[in-house]
Amino acid sequence: MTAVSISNIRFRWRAGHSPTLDIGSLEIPDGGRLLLHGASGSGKSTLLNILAGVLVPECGSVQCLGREINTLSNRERDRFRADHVGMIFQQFNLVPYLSVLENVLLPCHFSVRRRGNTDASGPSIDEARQLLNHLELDGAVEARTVTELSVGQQQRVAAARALIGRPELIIADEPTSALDADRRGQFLGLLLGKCEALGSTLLYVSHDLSLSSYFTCCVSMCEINRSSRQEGG
Amino acid sequence: MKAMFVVVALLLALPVPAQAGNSNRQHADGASAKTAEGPYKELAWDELVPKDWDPSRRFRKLDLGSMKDGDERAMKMLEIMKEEWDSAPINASLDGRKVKIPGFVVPIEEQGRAVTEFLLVPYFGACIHVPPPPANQIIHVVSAKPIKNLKVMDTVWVLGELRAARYSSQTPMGLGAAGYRINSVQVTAYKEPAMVTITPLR
Amino acid sequence: MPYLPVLAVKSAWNRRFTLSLVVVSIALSTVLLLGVDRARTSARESFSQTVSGTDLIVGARTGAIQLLLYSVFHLGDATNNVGWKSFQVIASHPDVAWAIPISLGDSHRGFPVLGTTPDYFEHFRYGAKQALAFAQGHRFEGIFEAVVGANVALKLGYRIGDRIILSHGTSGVSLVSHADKPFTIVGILAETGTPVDRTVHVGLTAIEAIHLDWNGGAPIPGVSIPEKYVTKFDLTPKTITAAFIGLKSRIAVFRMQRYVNEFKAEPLMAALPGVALDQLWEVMSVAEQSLLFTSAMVVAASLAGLVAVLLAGLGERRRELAILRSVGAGPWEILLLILGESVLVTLIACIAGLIALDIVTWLASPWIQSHYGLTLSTEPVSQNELVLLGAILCAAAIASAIPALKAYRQTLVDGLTPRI
Repeated sequence: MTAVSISNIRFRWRAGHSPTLDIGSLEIPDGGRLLLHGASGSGKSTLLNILAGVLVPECGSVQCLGREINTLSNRERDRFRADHVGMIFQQFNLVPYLSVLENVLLPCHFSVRRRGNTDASGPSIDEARQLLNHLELDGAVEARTVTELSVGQQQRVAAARALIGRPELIIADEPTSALDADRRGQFLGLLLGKCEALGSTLLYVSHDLSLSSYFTCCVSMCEINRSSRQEGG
Repeated sequence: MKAMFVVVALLLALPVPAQAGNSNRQHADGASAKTAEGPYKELAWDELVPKDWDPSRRFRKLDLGSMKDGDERAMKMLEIMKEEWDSAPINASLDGRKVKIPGFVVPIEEQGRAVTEFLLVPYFGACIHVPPPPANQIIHVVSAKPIKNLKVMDTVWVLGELRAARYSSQTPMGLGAAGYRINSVQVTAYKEPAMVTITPLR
Repeated sequence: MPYLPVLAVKSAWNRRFTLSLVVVSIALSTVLLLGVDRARTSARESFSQTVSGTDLIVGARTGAIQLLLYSVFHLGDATNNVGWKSFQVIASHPDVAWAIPISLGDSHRGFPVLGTTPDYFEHFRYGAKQALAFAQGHRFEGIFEAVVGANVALKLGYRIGDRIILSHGTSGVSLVSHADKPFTIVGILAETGTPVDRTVHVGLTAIEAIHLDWNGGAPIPGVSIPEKYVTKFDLTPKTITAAFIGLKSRIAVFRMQRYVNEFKAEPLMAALPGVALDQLWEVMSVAEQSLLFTSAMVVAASLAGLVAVLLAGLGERRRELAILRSVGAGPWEILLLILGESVLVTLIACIAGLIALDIVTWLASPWIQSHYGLTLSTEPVSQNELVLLGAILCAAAIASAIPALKAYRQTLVDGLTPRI
């Protein structure tokens, strides 16, 4: 079962210009862990946006969790993203005017499915606390405002937000670039462990090839973009 | 000279209500679409004047052209004319009829910003024109519901039951005077009906 | 979707310092707009309440509005007087049911003095045909007796039996007074909310009496007629300022008006109070419309400030909006979020403005009542004001379309990965 399957997509920002993306094929198996690396300008942001259903390629098909998301309407794609995708950004991951818990629970307000899909039989707030705990954030963190947290703590809260309600696909866009080496290792370990436990597929973008040992596949943007099909190594 | 002018004006003013009545009858169908119909039938202003009243009868034989300016007879005529005008009788047969009649508003009683009583007159500027309308061409309209946004010389349709009798006004004095009164059911804005174009025959 | 309002509130609260300045600006403009409307509505209502049941006001030939202003509101002065004989002839006309003569020209500590007959208390009506009522005492009977309005008694602390001195002239400062002929207060009227409250009422004979030893507005030097001798003189007035006429039939008003206008013995005029009021409002309406227009422009300016603040803030919110997109918000939801914040801020400002206006009205009301005899409505919000508030909110919503649409387009381009 493939979680993600892209075939022959092209995307260009402006008509008349050459396409930013021209991908023959890309596949991510269910429960897989893919490391996607590439330089800036290689089109990986565009690819992330397409995978998350924010942008639609001008041709080809994007299959996500068994659905052709490029054929869905705007609203349906937004719903799909809310229900099935969790995102972690590189920095400024948290909404400054929401508390830590409110940030973690944010996806639950946009997706009924994720709201109900909790580990504990109780309300989502317990689930959130549990997640934070698993990510080595103690109860004291809850009381702090978002701006008082360290970068490492912020990233882990972001991870909790991406994981709550068990979305099937986690997309992480260079989440550890701003962390030092120790924190990076800690973060990756926790994230990967959680994904494994929940059975989610992880697409991890980074320019750091040294992390490739953590992942089942490793794909480079310049391989897949404007080139023929490539099997992950 | 002034006297002659006024006499002629008085004589000419008589047909004005009749004309107003006629033109209203022609356009009745156009205007009635918007107002609450039912038993309210349009009334023309000249119907308020009893058929047998003719204030100018005394002057038909008079030859105005032969009088000099300032002629005493002209002044006397003026006085008599005014008396006739002031004692204009009412058409009692109209009492109790449900009517719909257009006219101009002269507010006389207000509550806050809404008018509760007004006089309905047949022509514009009745309070500044000489002569004012005769007593049988003025209707005292009383509205149970105060009417907002009504000001002097607004043109309205009044719907209600017409009372034509001797009656005493609110003030506790003995004899009342004769006059027309409507306890209005509805007062709406009067809209000028569209002009009808007439093509010349060939 | 239901979480959007919560987000809007939290987001606005987060930027409360900047937004509070905008709130103050919009609130002040709301006070201005609603205040202008409230003032003109109250003035109109108040003026309309002052006279009721009077068919005609008769006075020297001036203009209807001027006649109304000085006879009813005691504002301005009469250009000429009405002869007593003329008044008597008019009063005896068969159409006339009652006639109240009035005489103005004196004052008491800034309050106008009205000379009239006891018929005044019988026939004068205000509001919805309400008659004058006495809070204490009774109407004047003897020559040097006075009845004061509710406001006069309140402001000067008068009680039945107090003695007062009238001054000549209508200004607040009295340089010449009728000190030799003091008046006793025998009646205090109940509050009416009209200029009656700030008037001192005395008999016409009293006005004659206090001017017996005067000539042309000044006391005759060397001549002094003591109080107790006044009855020896003929105290019938020679002239009056104006008269209120009530007719037996209201339909007779036009012919009565014509009769007075053409009165041969003296140049007189008769005005219909309702018509004169309408004419007054027409004159005022130019000023009213300009005031309203100016206030609307001020509201527009304050809303422009709101739009500017929102637009400026969009740049730094791109990350935040991308986060919201990533958890499933669509571009429409982003648009609604910005719109919601804007309307929320305006709503708070409008409510604040309304409360401020109510406080100002409550504080100013007694002063206006005692100075102009006009009552300001004390209800917290009128129907018309609700319409104006709704209009401000609509204008805010429309103006907010600018930053909302910008945010919409921005998020379409940014997606999940804004380039900051």
